[in-house]
Amino acid sequence: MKKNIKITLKFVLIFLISYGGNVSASSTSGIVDSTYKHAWSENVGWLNFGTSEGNIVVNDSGLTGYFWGENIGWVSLNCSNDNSCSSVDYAVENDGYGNLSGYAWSENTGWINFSPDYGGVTIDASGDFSGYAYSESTGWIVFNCATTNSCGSVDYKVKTDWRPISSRPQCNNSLDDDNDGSVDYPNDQGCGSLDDNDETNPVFGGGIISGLIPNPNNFVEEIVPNVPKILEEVFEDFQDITRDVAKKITEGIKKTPVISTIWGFFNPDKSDDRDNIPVDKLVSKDTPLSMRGQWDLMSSFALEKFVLAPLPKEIRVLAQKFPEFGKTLEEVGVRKLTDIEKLREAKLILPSLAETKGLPVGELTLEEKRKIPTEIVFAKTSGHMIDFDIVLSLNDKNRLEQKITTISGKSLQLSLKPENPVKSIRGFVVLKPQNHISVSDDESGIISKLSFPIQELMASVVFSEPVFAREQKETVEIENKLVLLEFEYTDPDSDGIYTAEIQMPVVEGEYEIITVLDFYDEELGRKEIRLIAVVDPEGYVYEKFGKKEIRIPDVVVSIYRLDSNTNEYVLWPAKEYQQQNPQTTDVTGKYSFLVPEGMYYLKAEAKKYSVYESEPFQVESGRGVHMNIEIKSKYSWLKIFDWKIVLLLFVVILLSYNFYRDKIRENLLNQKIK
Amino acid sequence: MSSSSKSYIQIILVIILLAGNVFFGGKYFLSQKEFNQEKVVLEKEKLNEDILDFTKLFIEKVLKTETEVDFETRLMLENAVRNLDDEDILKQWQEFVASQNEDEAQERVKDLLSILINKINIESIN
Repeated sequence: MKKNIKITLKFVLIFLISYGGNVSASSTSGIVDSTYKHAWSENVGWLNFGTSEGNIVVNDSGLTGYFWGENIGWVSLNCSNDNSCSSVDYAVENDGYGNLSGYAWSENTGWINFSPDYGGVTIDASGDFSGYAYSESTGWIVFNCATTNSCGSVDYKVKTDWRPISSRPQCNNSLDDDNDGSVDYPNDQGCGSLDDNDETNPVFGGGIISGLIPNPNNFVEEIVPNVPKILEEVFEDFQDITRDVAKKITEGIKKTPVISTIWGFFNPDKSDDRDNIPVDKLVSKDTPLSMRGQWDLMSSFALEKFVLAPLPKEIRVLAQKFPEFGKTLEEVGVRKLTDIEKLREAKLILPSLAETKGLPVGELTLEEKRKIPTEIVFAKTSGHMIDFDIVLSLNDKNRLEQKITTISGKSLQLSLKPENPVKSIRGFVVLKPQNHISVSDDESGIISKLSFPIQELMASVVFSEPVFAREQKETVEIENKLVLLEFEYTDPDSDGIYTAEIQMPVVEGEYEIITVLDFYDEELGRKEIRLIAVVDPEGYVYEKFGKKEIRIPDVVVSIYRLDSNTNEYVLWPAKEYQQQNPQTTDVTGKYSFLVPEGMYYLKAEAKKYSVYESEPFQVESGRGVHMNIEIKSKYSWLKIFDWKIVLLLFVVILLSYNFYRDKIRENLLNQKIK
Repeated sequence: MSSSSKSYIQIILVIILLAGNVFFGGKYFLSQKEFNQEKVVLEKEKLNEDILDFTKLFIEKVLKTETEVDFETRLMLENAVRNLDDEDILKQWQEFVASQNEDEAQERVKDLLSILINKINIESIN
């Protein structure tokens, strides 16, 4: 009974082993390992023996396929690769024991010798290549870091799953080990599998039984003592087989659609499909076009467009019209849009072309009128006597802005010469949000942050190109703003120059004077010109009282101008400029002067106050003088005597008198005693 | 000691043990929650690092090189981009690799760099 069971088990085992198909031919015909696939040459770098395209196969007779080197291209290991053996017969041969010989061929480097003098390549029992190949071009090719004892720094080698004959089982070594005329499994009856290490034909026909029974010819003598071992091994194998069968059944069940869905729900497959694909299979051997180094991957055009963008048109025109200004821009390195930030800090003053100064527009000659640039608004004050500096500043959008600075409540005479005939020119004064006031004044009224002051009307001939007038593509935004004043430009003398006189708001702040030109030519449509007017506060006279300031009324404030002829300061003739000098302050203590350029000083006089005289200061054209003046009382030292001090002094005097009387009394007593 | 005293002590012990269980259970729950939060942050930081590493590699080995990118480097890049485990980046990378002309490659480089930068999670840095 037991014998029957044993025989049955053995047959089952044999059947299942056959079914399991655990037969591998890789040890006689191998491929290169996917990890260990590189050889190294000092001359040409890494050589890859494991490319999918190279398809290298190692067998007992030799190697076929190609290996790849970045610097040498493909190298053929066998003439059979391209059926060229009839012309040149070459191959890297294998003696079956892992000793390689022969040559590989590369179109770029020529012949590579696999068994050179002082070298040679071998494959050991583990499938590891070692040793050196050699060619004149590549020099020595090292197949294993162990050959040069460099595995500590770089771990590399070429490895295959082919095994030398000497390390393979008898049933898979291509030899007739039992001399029965048959070689290896399944030809030799003594072989149960490729892993069977005995080709000797058994009593029961070989196979696994031969592996279990040391000598089948002496079955009775040897099998009995080995029964426990046989059973143990049979059951071990049976367990393995059972496990395999269970696995196959499970996989089969999983493949059933419904069950696979349920299975997938409870056992989500976390691995991505691509994880199952070796990454080196995904990377093409052929370098993609995008990585061949032939293209400029970062578009130089886009970068140039950004980095080398030209200066704004306004500035370019300015530089063209004013060669010296252009030269200055060159010297300070302002050549492109990205340099424009430098302009914010630069103080650039255009050279003056002044021919006439402080003349009303109406008094200009025809030639001068002809030279006036079109579509630029010029501002004057004090009956056209004072030209405002029109400061060109860069706003936060890097656009040039025209800006003037005036004093609250002063009148402003605006002049404009349109390029083409106009139906009307209207102006609006609107409040501008004070987010970016780039012009600031110091005490002397000098602009500390100045860009391009146009010295005066005639000096602005350079701006003959109407770069500041922009086509009004959309409705002027005036409607959305608080319009403080609306006015119309007129041309009473029909000289083509339109003028308007407006009163600047009293409240300090930044305003925008928007001028809208309505042309006859419908194609031109309407244009708008924007001029920013910064209204500075008036100056005031005050007296300090502790930390507070008290405005002083009835102070006579005078301004004196340096007469260049006599080199003496004289009272500035304010009447010529529709102003008063001296001015007497009201309860607000305010005063202000709008003066032409020159050297000035201020004087403030009031009853009970010391006379104040300022240091001389320079005023640029069209600048307001509105510094705050602190005056001091003539008897200001009396202020230290407040009631506390007086009371204290009184107490001290009383005490002193008391001491004095005591002293006298003491003296009198002493005299009486004597 | 009377049997009633014993039972009292047993009840107290049970209550203490139950309270201990509840306390440590709560502590465990809170710790686990905190741990999970930290884990998420760490994962984000790791992803940020990986993205930056790949970006650095891409700039150094592809954008700044003037020669052909060798196979091993491409393999390294492929590994790096797949390690990010991000479909969008992988897709953009594959599109770049598959570029057929210079203009296309330039456009896709920009897109790839843009997506790489956008994928960096600023919140986790802060």
